[in-house]
This record gives sequence, structure tokens and C-alpha cells, in this order.
Amino acid sequence: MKGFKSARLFVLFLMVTGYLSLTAAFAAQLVVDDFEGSETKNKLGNRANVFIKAPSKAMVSIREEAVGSGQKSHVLMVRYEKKKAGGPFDSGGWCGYYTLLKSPPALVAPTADDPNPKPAEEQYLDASGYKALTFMVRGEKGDENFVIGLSDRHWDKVGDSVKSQEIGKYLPAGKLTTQWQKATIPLDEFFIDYAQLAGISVVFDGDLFPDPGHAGTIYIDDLIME
Amino acid sequence: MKHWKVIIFLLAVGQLSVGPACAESLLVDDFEGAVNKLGGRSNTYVMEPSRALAVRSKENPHGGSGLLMIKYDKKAKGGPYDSGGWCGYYTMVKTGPRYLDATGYQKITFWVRGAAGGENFVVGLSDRHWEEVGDSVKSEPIGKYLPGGKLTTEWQKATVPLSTFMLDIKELASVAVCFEGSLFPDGNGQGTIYIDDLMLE
Repeated sequence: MKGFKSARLFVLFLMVTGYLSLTAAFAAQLVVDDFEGSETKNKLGNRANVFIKAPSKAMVSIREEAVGSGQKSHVLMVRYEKKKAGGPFDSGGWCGYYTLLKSPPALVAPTADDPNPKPAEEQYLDASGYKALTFMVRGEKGDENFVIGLSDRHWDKVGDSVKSQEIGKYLPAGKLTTQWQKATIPLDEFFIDYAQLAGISVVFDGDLFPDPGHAGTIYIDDLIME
Repeated sequence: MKHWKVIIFLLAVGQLSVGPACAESLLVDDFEGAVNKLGGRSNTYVMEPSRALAVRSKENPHGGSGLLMIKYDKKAKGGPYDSGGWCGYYTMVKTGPRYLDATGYQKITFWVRGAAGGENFVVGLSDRHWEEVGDSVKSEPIGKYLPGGKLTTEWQKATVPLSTFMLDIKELASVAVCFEGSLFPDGNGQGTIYIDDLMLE
């Protein structure tokens, strides 16, 4: 009987540890976008696009390239032209790319009691199980630069994001080159609420470039929370 | 026999001059018919509480017999994100499923004046990508593209270079007139503008 009890406990232990490791496996990685689908929707089903304020400009397109292992896959091309004069406050406007982690509010079916229900609230991403944001990146010439922006519920309401340091800090080579590199940005670079993430952005900040601004093209693939 | 050579030469020269002349300018709308000159749909776009009204009128056009009057009331508060909603006017340059290849053109031009002077707007341009998103890439405030530096009660020709917009010029979908909140001191803007002879040149 005692042996049977021990066996049951052992099985229970295995189930619990198995379960724990399973949940850990689920939480180990979240592919935000591999750019194999539409350029306007990420793998989470949320919107992605450029943001622009003239006279700065940006555009995105999906291209086919060999990344890492050499097998061809689709990657995101972001072309930018950041100006340093003109536009609001004569700061040259702004430009970048964003992909939303929050899901849009779901529509609620009307009932007899509530014929015009309000949509359900937006669903923010709980990223408290992840430690870093990673992606593959390269530049067209190697002189490109950007920072990563991350927003939570608060920054989403403000319409802005908290910025990382220059991308070079998170790359093995210390700067963008024409070769693919894996960028690894620890989430604790951003002082925000990881339980309610709203979006990730690639921001071509004016401070990164000399006057009168900079134009360039970067390529990104496999945007992942790890 | 020489006669025939001269005729063939003249025909060839005539043919060559027709090609570039066709590409020199494309009249998108002179506002004299019910739809634009490309057969595309035109209308206002609005999100409450902001409002806009567009009317094809025959009163004091810049040229011909018609012009477009747009009356706008952009609010600063209320609506989605409490940003006051949005309003403007669009005209489709894509015909059915076919996008407009504008690679032969350098700029969008049109004639414009305000009812009081001092009105403001930006020009929006969309390609296949931006049409999918349901938005457009915006120019700077219209004054930048006017000889007078701002809208007045007199007709002025606006010239907006296509290079203002980082778009796929081979696949244009629409041109828009957008009354954005950031154009107005406290986010609220009301006024009436008149537009004529919208072209690609």
C-alpha cells in the first residue's frame, strides 16, 4: 500500500513537472511576426504599418531573402527618410514602423436588453513570461540606425512608446551591417508594465542622424518574444 | 515615292508627340460631372463628431463650369480615442480593380481658395498598401505648396510633388483632402474651401 502510494505520488510529481515544463515551453517563445503573411497584419492577427509625419517618410514591403540557414524566406523591408527640419516644431516630422501586440476590441452581440452594446475592451499582451525581444536585422548599406520603441497601456493612451538605446548596443557586431545579425533587447531596458503590452516599433529618431537627416533601408525578420 | 516618305515621317513625328503629351498631364477631376474624370468614386469621409460636406457647384469656378466646395468641422474631442473623429474628402484614381500607374507624372496640382482665408488641410495619397490599411500618406500643410504660403480667398495653384509621398507610384489608389486636428491651434477647425482642376502633371 505504501509502495502504491509512493508510486502515485511519483506519477503525480511527473505530471506536475511535465505540466510545468509544458507551460514553460509555451511561454518560452512567442512569434510576433515572421513576415510570411500580409505586411499589414502580424502573426498575432493585429495591425502593422508605418507611422509618418511629413516631411519625414517611410514605407514597408515584403521581400524574399535568405536569412541565417540560407533558406529563402519572406522578410520585412523598411525604407525611411528622416528629415531634421520642417513639419511640427520644425523637427522634421517623424517616421517608423509599428506592429501591435494588443488585440482590437471585440464586437459584442446586441440583446433585447442592450440593443447597442459597447465593444469589449482591447486585450493587451501579457508578456511577463518573456525576458527579451529578439529579431534578425540587416541594413542595405550598413550606415542605418534606429531604436526600438515598446508601449504598454499607459504609453498606448499617450500615443508614444519608451525607446531603447541605439540598435547597435543589442547586436553582436555593435552596429548594423549588411549581414544578418540577431538583435536581443532585454525587456528590462523598458520601464513599463510587461503584463499589458500594446505595441513594438522601429523608430528612426532624429537624434540618431546628423543634419539634414538620413535615408536608408533596413530588413527585419522573425520578431520574437523570448 | 518621296511623298510617301514625307507622310510616313510626319505620321511618325505626330505619333511620337502624342505619347509624351498624353503623359504630360492627367485631369483627375474638373468637378463638372457627377463622378471624377477617371470614372472613380468621390465622397467625403467622416467619423463623428467631426463632419464634412462636399458639393459640386457652378459658382465662381476657376475654369470651366464646375468646382468642388468642401465644408468641414473638425472637432478636437469625442469619438474614437477621444481625438474628435476625422473628416475629409477623397477621390479614387484607381478604376475598378486597376490601380493608376502614375510613373509618368511628377506632381499633383489643383486650384484652391478658402471662403475666409487661413483654412488648412493636408493632401493624402494612397497606393495599394495604404488602401488595404484604409488610410493614406499625408503631405505637409497645404501652405507649403502654394505661392502665397497659405490659403487665401484668391485662387492659387497648389503643386504637391509626388516625391513628398513614399509610395508605390505605379499603383495609386486615391487622392484625399484631410482636415487633421494637428493643423488647427486647439484641434478644432471649421471652414470652407473650394477646389478646381485636380490633375497629375
